[in-house]
Amino acid sequence: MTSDTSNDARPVAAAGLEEAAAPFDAERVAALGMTAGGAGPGGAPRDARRGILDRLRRGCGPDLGLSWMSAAEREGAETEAGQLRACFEQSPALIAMVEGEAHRLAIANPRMKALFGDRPWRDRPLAELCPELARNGAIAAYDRVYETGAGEILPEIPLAGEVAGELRYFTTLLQPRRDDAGRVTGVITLAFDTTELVRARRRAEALAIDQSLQQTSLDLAFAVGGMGYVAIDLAARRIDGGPLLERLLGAPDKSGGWPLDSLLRALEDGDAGRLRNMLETVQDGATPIDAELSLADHEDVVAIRLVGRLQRTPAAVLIGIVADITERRRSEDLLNRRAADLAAANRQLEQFTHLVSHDLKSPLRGVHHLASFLREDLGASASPAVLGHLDRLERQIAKMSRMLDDLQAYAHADRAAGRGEMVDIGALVVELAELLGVPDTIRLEVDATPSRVTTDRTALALVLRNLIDNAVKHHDRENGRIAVRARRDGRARLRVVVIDDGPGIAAKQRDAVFELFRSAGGKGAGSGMGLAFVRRAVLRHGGRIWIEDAPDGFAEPGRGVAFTFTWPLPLERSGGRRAK
Amino acid sequence: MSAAPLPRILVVDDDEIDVMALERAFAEIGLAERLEVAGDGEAALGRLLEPDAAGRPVLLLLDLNMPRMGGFELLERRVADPALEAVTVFVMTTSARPQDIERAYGLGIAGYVVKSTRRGFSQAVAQLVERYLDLVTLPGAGDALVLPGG
Repeated sequence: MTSDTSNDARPVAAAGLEEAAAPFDAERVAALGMTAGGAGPGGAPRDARRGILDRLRRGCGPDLGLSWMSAAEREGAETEAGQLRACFEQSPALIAMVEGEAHRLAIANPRMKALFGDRPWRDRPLAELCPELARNGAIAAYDRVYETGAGEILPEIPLAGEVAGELRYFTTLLQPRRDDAGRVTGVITLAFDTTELVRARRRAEALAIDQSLQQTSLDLAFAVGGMGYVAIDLAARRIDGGPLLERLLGAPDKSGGWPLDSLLRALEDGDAGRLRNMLETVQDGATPIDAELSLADHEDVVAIRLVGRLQRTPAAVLIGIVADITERRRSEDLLNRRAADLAAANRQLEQFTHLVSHDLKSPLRGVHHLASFLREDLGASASPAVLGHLDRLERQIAKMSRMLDDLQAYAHADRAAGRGEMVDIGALVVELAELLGVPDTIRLEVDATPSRVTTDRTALALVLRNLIDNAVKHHDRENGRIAVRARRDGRARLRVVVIDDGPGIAAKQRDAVFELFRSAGGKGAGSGMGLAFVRRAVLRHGGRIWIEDAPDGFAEPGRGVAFTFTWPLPLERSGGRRAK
Repeated sequence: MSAAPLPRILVVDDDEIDVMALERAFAEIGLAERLEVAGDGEAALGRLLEPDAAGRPVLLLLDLNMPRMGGFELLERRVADPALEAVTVFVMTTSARPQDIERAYGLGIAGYVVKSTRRGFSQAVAQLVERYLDLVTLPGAGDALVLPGG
């Protein structure tokens, strides 16, 4: 290699570019045909200059071999070369040149080299340095350019962290490099990092998708909910809106809306006045207008709800939503009618039972009185047999009377649902036992977990009282045992069992005992209504009741019975107890 | 013997046997001759408004469910008519309905008694009336309300 030895002949690699230029060693330049001998000292300066520029276009080295030039020429060429080199070194684009079929890397500017980090890159095939390029189709493009000599632009080649540290996109220009004979010897690569552009575009696209999604969801929600936009211009007294308003007010006029008065006219008088008043008094601020308005006589819309907020845009416009609440109104009407029907039915039932019990009780009281008149009037003259008959007569009357009282109470059991209160099950059972006069010969056990529940005390007491009473009344032995056991059954239900060791109930009778006036008999049997009461109260509370054998070991084999019922409890608030 | 007429008690009830039971109970305590009976509200009204004010009943034992004019109708007439204000009324009925009880007290009764088949019930009522008339000073009667032997 020929080289100029004078100091002032090497300005190109001077100063700041020294380091960046380091890879451009003389050998490399020689390989690129940049030797001074290539042009020769005898060449015309003009040609020589073009040759140099050609070479510079193809790539340049620190030693340009310009010794044959005049000082002025040299200076000019060196300045030009320096500027070109600065462009190459400082370009924000990634510039590289690859050679041969394998696309071996010959030249890369600092930004391109940065992609490869510390790895040696020179003369290595591009696909080996950066296998990703094979996968994303870039190498194929290099092949094409190399073969056909036609340049290509590769938009947004993605390079993952493998080389770039993070996913980045490069828009890449591939240009064939030709030798003096015009043969393609390599590919010049000019790549721009367009990651930010791509990201910005993707964000914009995502935003557009989001917006269109939101718009679509909103449109669908509006359609399903029978709602629509509305804007009321308070100064112009004009109203704008969507299909719902069109349904209410007919086709919009030429300016695409309606006069406010047409809405006011469509409303019932009172509601029109109310809306007019609201619109006159509406203030700027957070509190929106919210009004349910009845239509005067629209064929299918009964009422609408208007929710809106005043906005100055800059004119005062009430912007909001109008909803068709016809369905809700209809359901409410239906519900009200049902409730009224139910109340009427309850009143009738109550009147009926009142009349029945009154009408039956009057003659019964008459019989009772007559029996006592007989007892009084016969006085001491009555024979023991007559007195015995009178006793039996009075007992029958008393029983009948109790049945009628129970019948009345049974009818009333449906009314007046009690409010929830804290009930201590153990204490309740003890209280009921006292009330019922459970004899000392019967042992009463209570085992309740939880021991305290919030429920309708009256209803639970009614059920327990009748079950305990039933167990006591039907017990056939001197000594007995009754147990009340309560357990939580699932999250919001209590399961209560009342067990006794009495004579038991035959399997085939177990359903019948819950029917009105059906009693399994036994000493001192009641009106036969107690268990019917119990079942009614349990069902009414949302529970279930059934009869099982007493658990093993509780009673002698074949004896005993267990009444089990479920008793829904109010769902406890999650998130811990709230302090008072 | 006092010159003033004895205060009279009027049973207004269409139930023949209930009336019999009361008559027997009043007789037991010697007040049989003070007891009168009206079969319904209209008959009772006739007695309450009779020209001779001194002969009018001062206390009513009033049933609610009766033909022609029921107990409530009579009570409403009494509230509206100053001439009837003075009479003291005990309702005596089979109805234990809370709304009947409230309505009756709202019409200014002295007490509400639910008829019962309890042994000795009629006697208890007779005794209540006797004690009541003995202890309570009724309007416009001054000290004339002296029971025989009292």
